[in-house]
Amino acid sequence: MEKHSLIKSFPILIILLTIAISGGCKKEDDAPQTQTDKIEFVSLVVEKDNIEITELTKVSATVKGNNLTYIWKCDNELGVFEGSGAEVLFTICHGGTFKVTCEVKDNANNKASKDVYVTCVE
Amino acid sequence: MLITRPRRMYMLLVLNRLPLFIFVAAVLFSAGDIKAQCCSTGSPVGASTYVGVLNKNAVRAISFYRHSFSDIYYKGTNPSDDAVDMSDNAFYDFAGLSVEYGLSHRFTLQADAGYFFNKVVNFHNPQLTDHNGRGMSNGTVLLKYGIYIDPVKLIEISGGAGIKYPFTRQPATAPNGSLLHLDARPSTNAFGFTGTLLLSKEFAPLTLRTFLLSRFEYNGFNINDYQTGKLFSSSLFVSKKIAKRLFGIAQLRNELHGKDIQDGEVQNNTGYFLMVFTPQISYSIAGLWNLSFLYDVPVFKNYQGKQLTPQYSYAISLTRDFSNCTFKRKITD
Repeated sequence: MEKHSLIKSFPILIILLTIAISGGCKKEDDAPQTQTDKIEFVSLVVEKDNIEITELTKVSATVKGNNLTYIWKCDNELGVFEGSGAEVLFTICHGGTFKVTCEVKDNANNKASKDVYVTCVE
Repeated sequence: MLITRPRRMYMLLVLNRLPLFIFVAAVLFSAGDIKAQCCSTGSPVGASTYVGVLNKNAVRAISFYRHSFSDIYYKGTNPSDDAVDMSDNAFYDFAGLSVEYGLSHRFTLQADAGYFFNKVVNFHNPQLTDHNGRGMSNGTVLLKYGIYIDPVKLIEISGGAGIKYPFTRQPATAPNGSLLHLDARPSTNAFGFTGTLLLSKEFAPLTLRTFLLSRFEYNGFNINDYQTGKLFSSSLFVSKKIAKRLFGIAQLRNELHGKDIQDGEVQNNTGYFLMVFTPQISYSIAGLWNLSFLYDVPVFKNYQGKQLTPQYSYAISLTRDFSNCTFKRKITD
């Protein structure tokens, strides 16, 4: 009886492990630096590219286009952005040099992006 | 094969409960769209001492609510004396549900999931808007196996292995569209593995039970190549009947958390060793329901770099058995 239950339970374990292995450790490709005809990403400027931990620095994007949406990203998950739109404040609680990316898109899904680097000193 | 009347009634009872179990399990597995856990402020460990394997076809449901508060930064084993910190405090309110089903007398299947009603980081700098994450934490499906069970000597040794899965791979975002601070995210947004080992010994004449529960968690990478460190925790419990239906439980738990990794780079201000003392009272109702209250008091902290550390945490849990599950019930009733 007990051997029977044991054999019955094994397929469940195998299915669960297969799901876990096939779904894990996937990495999205880094967004390429792009430029289209509809959007012109003129510049991305950081006010202070050397900051102390918890210090805020202003990052400004100048972009030509209509109905633009701005998406701000840091290559470290601990980066914090305040504000939205073409100008935001950035800070991070870890030391190192971090890439700050601004992605812009319009209603027609035209996209453009630029990066700047900020060094944070512990 | 002859089935005795009590046995038949018991089977009918289990069959009647099966739709409920399937419904709860379906909810746990299907919340795919719900926004999805945790860093130095601690992971919401459960609030139940019911951790062994169940009898065949037995069902157990454990629900709990936990509040945790963190407001002191540590560097190593001492509070940081820095003038400025990133956050003033952080806290969360979490509700968890765990459902267990006895596949056989040796195998028990367990599914856990939980929801953060809030997971708040209050930044020190007034220019920063506080981050508040809410949503599903990671789910876990665990298969437990009774390696050695002696109902006469009241000894149980059981081990379990399972997977942690996120309800979404997309990390939670703040209202401005940027990612939430890690401590405010309800989920790791990554798959992982978990393993458990339980050693339990009951002294029925003394209405005393002791057990050691160890748990290992391995977290995979999220879509931004961030990996939360490995976690190894070990808890020593002593449970003693102090009045009719009332139990007192003392728990000493240690957590060893490895460092997080981002793009292959070890993150300095991550990784810790934490020791927590948890007094708990538990009240048994009609031998089927169990109501528990516990309070976590950190007694030793050693944090790598500088990190916000947990100050206190409390939890209330309600457990319901849908059959006479294991030998450990003998001292409960």
